[in-house]
Amino acid sequence: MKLLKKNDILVISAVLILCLVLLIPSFKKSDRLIATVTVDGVQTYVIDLSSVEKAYSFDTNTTPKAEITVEKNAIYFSYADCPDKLCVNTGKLTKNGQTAACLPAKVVVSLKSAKSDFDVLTY
Amino acid sequence: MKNKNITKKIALIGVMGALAVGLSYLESLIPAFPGFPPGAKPGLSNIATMFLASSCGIADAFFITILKGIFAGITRGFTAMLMSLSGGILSTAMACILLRGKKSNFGYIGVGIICAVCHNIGQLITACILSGTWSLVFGYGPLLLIFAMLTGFITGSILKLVMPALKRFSN
Repeated sequence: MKLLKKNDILVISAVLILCLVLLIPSFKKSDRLIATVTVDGVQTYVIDLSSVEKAYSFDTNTTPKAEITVEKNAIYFSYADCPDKLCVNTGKLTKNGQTAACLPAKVVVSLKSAKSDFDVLTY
Repeated sequence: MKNKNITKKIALIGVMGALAVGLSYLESLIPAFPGFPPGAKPGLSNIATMFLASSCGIADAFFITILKGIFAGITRGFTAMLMSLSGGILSTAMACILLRGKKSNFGYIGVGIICAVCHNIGQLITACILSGTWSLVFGYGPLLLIFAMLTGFITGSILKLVMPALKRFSN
């Protein structure tokens, strides 16, 4: 068995193409950043990050506990009670398409961009 | 003569199991890098399962995969166990399909990349089911695929390098 065969290069190109296809939604540019927080599959909070003036934190009321902090144009998990702390280590989300998830608490934060006529929604 | 072979096989699976568990524990100590998906690891223990899939048997490879999952469950919690098992089983199944055949159409790097990609796809699906949010596919998918290519390339190359030595050891 060789190290690299012709089919391997096909596999590499196929994965790269799949990658680009999945990236298409995040290429969209716009002036507003909307964060959606989903708890157990239910969209619970929709926050317009562009209009946040003062940073604040809130608890998602889940077990294990997860705390989310919102700043102007940024959102992140500031505290989590789970063993792996993957969501906290993800760091600040600031760009369209970025996602942070805390699987034990079933909380997902994802960023989308929206046109400027989007209704301002806060929780 | 037959007994001697069984003893050898038991010892080999023991060594491989220890290697897989040891490597996956070492990897779990890697801190989060900026730009890399959180929790992403090189998947070096895949080398052990890929070797077992190609040189021993399908059952042995799956045994090590499940052992690894249980170990992740003990040390890192239930979610980690589900993630380890879903990714591991899919990637081991793929390794068995690709490496058991007489003549493989893929080289070591190709097999490594396919296994790593399948591992991450399995984990991504589990993550989506656990969180109930399918947008994770777009948020994490591209990053995980790129990372799988990188790690698959590394594990495939290492497997190619150590294969002659392991073959000598197991025959």
